[in-house]
Amino acid sequence: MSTQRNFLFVFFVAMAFAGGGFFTYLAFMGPPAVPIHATVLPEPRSLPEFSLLDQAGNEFNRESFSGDWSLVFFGFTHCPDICPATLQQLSLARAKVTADGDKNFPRIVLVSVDPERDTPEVLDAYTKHFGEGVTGVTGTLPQLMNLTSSIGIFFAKSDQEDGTYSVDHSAVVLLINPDAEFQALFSAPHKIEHFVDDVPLITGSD
Amino acid sequence: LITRRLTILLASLLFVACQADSGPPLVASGIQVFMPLPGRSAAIAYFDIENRSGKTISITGISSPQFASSMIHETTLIDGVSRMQAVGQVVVEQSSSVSFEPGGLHVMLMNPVDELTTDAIVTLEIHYDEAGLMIIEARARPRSNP
Repeated sequence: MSTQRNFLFVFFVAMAFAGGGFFTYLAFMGPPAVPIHATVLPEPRSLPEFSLLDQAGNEFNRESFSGDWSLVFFGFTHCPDICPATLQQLSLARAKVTADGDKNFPRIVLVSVDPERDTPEVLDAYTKHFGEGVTGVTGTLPQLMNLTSSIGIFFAKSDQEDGTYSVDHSAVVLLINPDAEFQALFSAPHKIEHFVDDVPLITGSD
Repeated sequence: LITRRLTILLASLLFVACQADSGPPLVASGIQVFMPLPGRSAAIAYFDIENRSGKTISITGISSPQFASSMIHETTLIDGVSRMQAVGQVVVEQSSSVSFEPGGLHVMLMNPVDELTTDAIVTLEIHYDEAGLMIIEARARPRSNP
């Protein structure tokens, strides 16, 4: 009887230590970090074959995404608000992450959805304002549609009262993996912290 | 007793009315002006504006002596698609605030009269109601280094 009581005592003490250890582990280590702002696709989707021009006038195609992670935004240089604000947020996120020691933040790609006004030369001056690692891409309307229609990006010309035009466009930021696959997306409205927190978790450079 | 209570109530109302009239009706904060991007001629301004008056105020226009023209625009985000349109007036309800911010209301300042340099003081004239005018200022900053 005494042996049985001793056994139970030792058993409960052991359980108490094990439970305490488990909760201490959780308290210090926390659950594994997962992206909370980005939507990660269950299976990455291959980009279609496409052909555009970068700001230097060189061809920019599906292969151009190979080997590096890329954050891709669709906008235009006459857009005064959300396009420069998003590029600014992406640039500041990259500056923050690289300052924290991670040198592998994705490059930033602006795909212009205003082929009438955004020539490679216009994109060259515009993208340089946001620092190194920002690529500007443009093409003809059919070339752009070939890429955007396959990945659910919308854009359409919109006449303004003052006789000019704007372009309505999807405000999402896509994360393309080094295999040229669409892997995750960030929905607007964007915040710098969304990219700072989630991009390293998805790219595995955290 | 009723007379005394009425006197206190009237005194309280008078006090509140005096408080409401003691300061400017509109107060702006967080003012930012971003310079035109390379190849572009439009700067952009953002700020928060608070209505401290006892009545609704309508902002009817925002101008700047340093720019040939200006417009209030609003970016809307519907089903993930960004659209921009001109806005005729902005209503600020009493005791509330309206934010001019990226992805929402903003002031487009077009065609600088003179070249706009970094840290130049930009004056914004906020026109409201019949003849109200409020003047605010901010330094022009590049997008790359806000």
